[in-house]
Amino acid sequence: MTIKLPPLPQPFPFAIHPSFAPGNPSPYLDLDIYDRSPFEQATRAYADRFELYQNAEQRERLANIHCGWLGSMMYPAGSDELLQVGIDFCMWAFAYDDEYCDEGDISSQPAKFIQASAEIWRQFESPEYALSQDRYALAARDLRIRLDKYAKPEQTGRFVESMRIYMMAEMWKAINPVPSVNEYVSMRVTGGGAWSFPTLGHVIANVDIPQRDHEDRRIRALFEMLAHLMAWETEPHAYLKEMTRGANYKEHNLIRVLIRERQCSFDAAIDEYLDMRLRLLGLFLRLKADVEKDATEGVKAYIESVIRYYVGATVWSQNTRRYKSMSGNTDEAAFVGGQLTEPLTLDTFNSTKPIEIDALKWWWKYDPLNTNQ
Amino acid sequence: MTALTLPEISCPLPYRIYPHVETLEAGTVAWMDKWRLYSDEKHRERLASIGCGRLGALMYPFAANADVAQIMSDYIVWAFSFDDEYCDEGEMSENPPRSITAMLQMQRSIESPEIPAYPENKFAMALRDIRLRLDKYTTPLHTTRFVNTQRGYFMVEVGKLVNPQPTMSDCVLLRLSSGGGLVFPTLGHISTLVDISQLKMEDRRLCALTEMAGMMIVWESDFFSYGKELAREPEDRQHNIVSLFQQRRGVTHEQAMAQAFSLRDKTAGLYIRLRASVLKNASPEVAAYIESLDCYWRGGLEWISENPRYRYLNGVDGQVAYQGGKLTETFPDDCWGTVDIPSISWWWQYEPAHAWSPPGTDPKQLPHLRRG
Repeated sequence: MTIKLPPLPQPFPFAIHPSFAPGNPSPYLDLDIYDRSPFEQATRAYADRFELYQNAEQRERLANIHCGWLGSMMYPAGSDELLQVGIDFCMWAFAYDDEYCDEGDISSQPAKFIQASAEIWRQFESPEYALSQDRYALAARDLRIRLDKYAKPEQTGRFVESMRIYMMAEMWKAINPVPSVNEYVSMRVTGGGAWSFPTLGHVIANVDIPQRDHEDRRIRALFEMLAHLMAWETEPHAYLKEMTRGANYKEHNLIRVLIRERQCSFDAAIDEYLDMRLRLLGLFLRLKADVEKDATEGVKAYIESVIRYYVGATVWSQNTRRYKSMSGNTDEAAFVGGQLTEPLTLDTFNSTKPIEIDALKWWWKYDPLNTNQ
Repeated sequence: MTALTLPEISCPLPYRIYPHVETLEAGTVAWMDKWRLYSDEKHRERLASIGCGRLGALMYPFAANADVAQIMSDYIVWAFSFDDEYCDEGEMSENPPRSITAMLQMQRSIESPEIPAYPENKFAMALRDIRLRLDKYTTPLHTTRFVNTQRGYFMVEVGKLVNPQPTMSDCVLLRLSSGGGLVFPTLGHISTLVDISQLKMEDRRLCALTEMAGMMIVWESDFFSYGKELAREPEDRQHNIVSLFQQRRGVTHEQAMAQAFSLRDKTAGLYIRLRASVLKNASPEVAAYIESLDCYWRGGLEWISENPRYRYLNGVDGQVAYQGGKLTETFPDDCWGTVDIPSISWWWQYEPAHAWSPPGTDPKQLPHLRRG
């Protein structure tokens, strides 16, 4: 089966970290040369050191993600040391997602899984000693120790909290295989690292945003919107793969959940998703312009870090071998189209309608068009 | 059976209380009625008799104003009621998927309080009310700390639902965050509105002090409730620290109590030493934060040690469940040494008396990896 998607309108330019594969004329494509990047070599060594796989086949699949490339697109600014933390976190999250959440023995044992997730959480928030022998807990601790060395405590604190959100979502997913659309969007944006990856962006870029601004609801809405949007963009691609292999009884895919809840066809679900993303982008651009009218440089850089995450992760998801094929190891096409467009002008995104999903409605409370704020 | 005898319990911090306890009590009962935080009339009576107003007044003696003191007292009844319904033997504890979804709705309601997304979930609506009222007085940093520690609370309750047999170390960790264990001490500085920066809050020594204050109250309530809990089935009291020692180490109740007291005294000793060390060159906000932890610990212990619900077998009067347990304002006698519970051993990393690390926990040494 091949899935065909239209191009996805979007307003943002592309960027990649200058230290990664310099001189590459097509940095948005998945290339064999990335195998030789020192960042890629280092992250594979990290996976080997903590044995973040259950067998040789999975080890190869992790290598094929090209975490070095993905991290360099999501985190195009920042020191090489912090970029490596970002890349290694990609490796950690994919490995954990595959082995613990979706496919390994532990993924079908909620009690054991939740136990392990709690150990990971504690180890990440208390890095002083090795408290656990869990491979993922120890590998997470290694990331935390490096963040303590290279990043600021408030920045690291935000990432630590995001990991707690991540672990909690995975526990929820482990026991709720058939969520409603309303539940699912919250599950999706918090699970699978979808909250942690964008949180890490400002840490790697060393953005100084005061905690007060970080907690500002309008800035949180901007963060949430792109965190959700990135997660949605992967769903049509993942739909086919998840239907074909892995923990199939878990209906953890936006398209699949829409089809069930709306009792609609695949095409109708895709149409709804396409409409959702336009509504979201309309609000995002209005609110961003409004916030930036009197924002500090730190706030602007923070918003930019979230945009970088969205673009980088989306470009990766559309070009990676992991989603292009069933096995995750070859280039055989499973879907065509669905690429982000070149940056379109802002007036393209003029939708003013809210998305009719309860969990997302609060964003429109901060819509600059809404005079009753 | 003879009543258990508890040793004296020492806490060298002063007694303090917020005035107008009766107003707080009445306010909290009215708030509980507004959100119907009970399953029936009997449950309502029980919650009303806890004395949440007095507990709040003891834990948060320097609450910035009457409204803030009321929020604290109301949150306490929320936690007691939630605990009854969702944790331990509550009705919802038998249905983990439903229960977890309900808890995530509660969490979401305080994360994004703008729109009431779950009007049918009374615990979510009541918790959202707490958040909205806090927003009136506190800074976004305060409310975020409340939201984040509340997330830890829910997360641990979720873990408890599906993992009935945790290890000793996990069990201790689980108790630290469950039942509001870390939310209550965090509310301390929120109640005084002290504006401490996030950078200072991330100081690992303050994290350690916060966890220690939270943990000691959990253990102390375990000591005082142990006499009553002995009347229950062993499997129903395994999270109690004394039970945990008694069951896992195969010792008598008295020996287990002595071991648990020693654990608590070592922690109390570390708390006092680390506190003094941080205070030596602390900013006024850090000093105020530490004072809020002091109040929380001493106030909580005061409430636990005097409380008829633990002292008497029937929870009111008559036959006692324990003897002794007198609260003294002295320094614990034997308060040096470390503990062999991995999940909390990091507190001793910050022991001011000496740079020290427990055996087998060299941070540079990669331990054996466990698969799956």
